Amino acid sequence: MALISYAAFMQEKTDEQLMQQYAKGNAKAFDELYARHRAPLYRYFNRQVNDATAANDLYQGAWEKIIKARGKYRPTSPFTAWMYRIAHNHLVDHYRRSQPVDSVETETLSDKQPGPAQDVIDGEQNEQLRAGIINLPEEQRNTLLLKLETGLKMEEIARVTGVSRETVKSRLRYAVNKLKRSLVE
Amino acid sequence: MNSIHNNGENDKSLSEGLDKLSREYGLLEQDEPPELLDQAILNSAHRAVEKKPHWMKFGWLHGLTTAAVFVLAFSIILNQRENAPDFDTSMRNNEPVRLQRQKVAKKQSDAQFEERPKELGLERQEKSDSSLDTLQSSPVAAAPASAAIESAPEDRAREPVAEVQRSLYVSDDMQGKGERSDKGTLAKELILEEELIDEADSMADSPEASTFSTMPRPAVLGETATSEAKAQVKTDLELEQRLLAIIKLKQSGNETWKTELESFKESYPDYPLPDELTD
Repeated sequence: MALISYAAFMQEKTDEQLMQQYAKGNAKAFDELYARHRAPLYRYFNRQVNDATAANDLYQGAWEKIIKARGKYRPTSPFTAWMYRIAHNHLVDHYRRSQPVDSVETETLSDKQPGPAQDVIDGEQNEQLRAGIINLPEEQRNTLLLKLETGLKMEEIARVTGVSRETVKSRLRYAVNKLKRSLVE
Repeated sequence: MNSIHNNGENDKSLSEGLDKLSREYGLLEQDEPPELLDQAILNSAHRAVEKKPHWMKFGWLHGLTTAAVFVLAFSIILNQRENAPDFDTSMRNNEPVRLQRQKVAKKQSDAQFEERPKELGLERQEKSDSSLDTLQSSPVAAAPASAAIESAPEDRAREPVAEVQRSLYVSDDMQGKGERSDKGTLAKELILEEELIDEADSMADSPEASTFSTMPRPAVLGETATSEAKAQVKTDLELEQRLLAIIKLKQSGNETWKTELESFKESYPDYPLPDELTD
């Protein structure tokens, strides 16, 4: 009975309140927060790098950074935006370490050559979509996944990625058009 | 106007495209992190906010205290090294002479005080044999002599100064308790003298040695002290002999014992008299 009431109490709390409680030392608040965000954050990384090992490392590293930065969190911004900003920066660091040369901003579909993942497409729509996302340019893929996984508004995605709202919109438009095309093919 | 209209159309098409994509994206396999990874992250989060024990909160204080203790100890040692007198050379030079003098003084005093209780005991024995039985029951005469004899072997191993002090107390018993405080003072003075002698002795080979050379040596001072004590014992024995003579006169019926006793009282008014003469 006590557990049910405690769970109900936790469910009523917003992410921001839970994070504040965790920052004050309430470990249970983190458990609830983690349960809410674990799957979206994991998919965000997994579909960025398409490598389970790298995704696991990125995921764990991002949570470690969140735990370390708990004292710096201020409830003036949404927790999701704050968390994904940390995750995004962690991912950018990963890209810089792994492929320092290929981080060129690509805004046009024609500039990007089809990646090797397209060869794997076996006709199933899900696999086509997955492959299409993987083959998107890094910035477009990142913006699209933030939109699809977190449901953040364009302004919030702009804050997370550190670009303007128009850039976010442009990246999303290019990403959607390219995925439509790949799904039709 | 056209651009605004185009922007509106673009936004609409974008939102429609995103809606459709979201639906299809939702149909993808819902990947989740491995349970082990979940557990590792949760453990890490719990550890991060675990309350540390009280003593760990002040870990810096422990470090500071330890460092302060070390600094203090080091500074004390350094200070002592700087201010310490150069004992090494003076002690090395003085030690044989000093030790020799101490040994000689100790032997002399031991020899003197070993003989004293025996003499005292023998004299007592002779007196008690030759004179009256009443004298044996006298607290003035009997008790100190036997005590001195019993304690004599133990005393040999002790310090000469302590022996002098003890012998003074033995004679105290013989003379009466009135003089005990004076004898105690004398013993303390003797101890002080001994300490002063040691101090002077340690400086014997220093530049001021010529000054100290004129001072009396331990053996000389020891002799002075023991001779004083011996003279005192001798006086006590003489007085007791005189008292015994008076008792003899009294017992023989000679009336001169009264005049002898009066003269004795005049000479030694505070000397305790035996029971036979106090009647």
